[in-house]
Amino acid sequence: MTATTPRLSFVVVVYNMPRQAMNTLYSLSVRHQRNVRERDYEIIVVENRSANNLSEEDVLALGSNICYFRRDETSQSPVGAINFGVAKARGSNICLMVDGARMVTPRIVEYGLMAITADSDALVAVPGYSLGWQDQHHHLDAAYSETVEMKLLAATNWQQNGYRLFDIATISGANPNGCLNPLMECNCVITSAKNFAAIGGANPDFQLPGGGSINLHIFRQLGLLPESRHYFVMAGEGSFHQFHGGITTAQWSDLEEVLESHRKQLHSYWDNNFHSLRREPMLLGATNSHAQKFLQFSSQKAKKRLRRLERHGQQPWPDDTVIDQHQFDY
Amino acid sequence: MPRLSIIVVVYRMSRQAMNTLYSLSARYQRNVSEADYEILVMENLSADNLDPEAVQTLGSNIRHYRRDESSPSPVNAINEGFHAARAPFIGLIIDGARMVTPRVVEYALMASRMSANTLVAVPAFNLGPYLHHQHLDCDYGEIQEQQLLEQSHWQNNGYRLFDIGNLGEANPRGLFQPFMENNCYFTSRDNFAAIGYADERFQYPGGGSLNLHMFRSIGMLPQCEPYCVMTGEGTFHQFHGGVTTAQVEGRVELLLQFREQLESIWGGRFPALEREPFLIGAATSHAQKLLHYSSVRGLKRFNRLHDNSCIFCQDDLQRSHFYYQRDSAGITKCDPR
Repeated sequence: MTATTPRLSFVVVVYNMPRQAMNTLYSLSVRHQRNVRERDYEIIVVENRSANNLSEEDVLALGSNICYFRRDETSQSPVGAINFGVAKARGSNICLMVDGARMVTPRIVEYGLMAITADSDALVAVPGYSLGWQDQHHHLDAAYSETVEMKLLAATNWQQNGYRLFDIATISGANPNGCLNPLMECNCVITSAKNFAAIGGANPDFQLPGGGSINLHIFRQLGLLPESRHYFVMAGEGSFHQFHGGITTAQWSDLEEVLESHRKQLHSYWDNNFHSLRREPMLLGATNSHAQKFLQFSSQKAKKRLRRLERHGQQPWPDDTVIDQHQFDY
Repeated sequence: MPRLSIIVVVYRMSRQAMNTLYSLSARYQRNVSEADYEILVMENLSADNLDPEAVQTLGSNIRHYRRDESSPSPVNAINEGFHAARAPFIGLIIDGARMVTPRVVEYALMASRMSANTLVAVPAFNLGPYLHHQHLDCDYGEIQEQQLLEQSHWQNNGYRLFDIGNLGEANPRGLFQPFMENNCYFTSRDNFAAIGYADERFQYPGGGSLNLHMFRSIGMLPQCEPYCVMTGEGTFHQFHGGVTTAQVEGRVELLLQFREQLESIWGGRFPALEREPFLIGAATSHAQKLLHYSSVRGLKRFNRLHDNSCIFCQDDLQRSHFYYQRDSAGITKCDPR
């Protein structure tokens, strides 16, 4: 571990996906991240033990700013691992990555640091995408598999230029209307340790496999905190989901039932009125040639949504009003 | 002590300048207070001057300098503004007829916190449906513009300026196209010092190509990181019969002279600043169509450059090779070879 205190701590939760997680960790390391040094941030890897674990040695070889914890967990939920990782974090700010199968683009650390310099309590979202040519729920129909994905990744040489991930990805099912519409969830989200404590950490009631909708719950909770005054979205960066047979990201015969149980639990915490985070996103960062087609998509969808709401005389960002009026009370 | 000084140059456009100053004031700018920034109004006296009392009512953070100037160029006014500026981060609006949207000051301050030597550009647009240098052909003038402004109630929501503006000639292809110039940009005092402030050789009316020269010179400084562009903000040019922004006789010849001077200083062709823009700020509902248009044009540009095996943002690569020298006064001047 580095001696100086890093400003930003990444908490990456891993379970039963060593190959994918190694890609994720490489993408987070200074070998891949641009314009930052190891001492600027730390990566806390929390792995729930399975039959298929990471090699500690391989993980630590990626940089001196990485620490690795393997824990025995009886629950199928990552909630315990999240809170464990956050407790280990030394930075004043945290980037939460609940699903270790998500690789990231090369400037999320740099931009994340810039955002928390502008406002130490900022909420920063890195939009999510799926690797492959369509959303991975349908992989069986599309003959998509780990092998196909590995070939795709190998052909892009993403290690040389991580933005090429945009070339082999598609918009994610979680946010099908792009990054300028309200986000339902975010799998790579930065907040202050203080704000994470203010929402009481990850709620341990979320014990469904994969945590159920814990990620959606956390994201909206953070977004509605009055302290999260600045809400940034990195329009030109992304987190890219690798296929790994996750709870909701692969095709299961009972997927609908599983999702319904998640929805039920989530809505019970929000008076049956859970909603995506309807706050005006502040763009942050460059949008390079690879990401431009997604910005085009997102801005088109946003334009459409805003026109529709205007026609109906509705506010586009009602959750901003909530913030202004300090009406939200935990 | 303010964290930001904004220099606004005014000459013979009192009505337009009052709109501009209102749009810069803390009454209209959101999420900032008067203590955060100061506005330095550098007015060259003419037959149509600002009313100092009216200016002062806009805020206690405004200082109004009335100057007798024999040169038709704003260059001396700008340098006097630099001298008067107290903040380490400075914005320059060379044409006082440009109104701004409500979060320009907030985002400029935010960018300066993120990186002390950043360059922040606010995209430029025109008020009204037409290009201002074609106003006679389009039968457009101050009266039509005043009506448009009045109907929009822009004082209540400055983003409505997008609804009554057009892309203009400055950045006709949107935000992802390299900017040739910019009429409202912010950078550190150190960066302005590094280019020797406003170069006094630019003595043509309106400064000629002074603005283009300064914008590119700063953008090419090695320490100038990142190059920010405000996504959802803008400056809106009000019609005022400016040197190059109205349909006047001899405009084309004048522009040619401006370009010749610029090219003689830069030793040949003067290119737009080809740096990757770092987007900052929200794109409100009013500016969303612009963002969409920009991304369509941006993608088109990227595809074209890709097909021709060209580099997208070549100035990002070339900046490190830029050449500087110190002049006798100890000011670092840029030598644009």
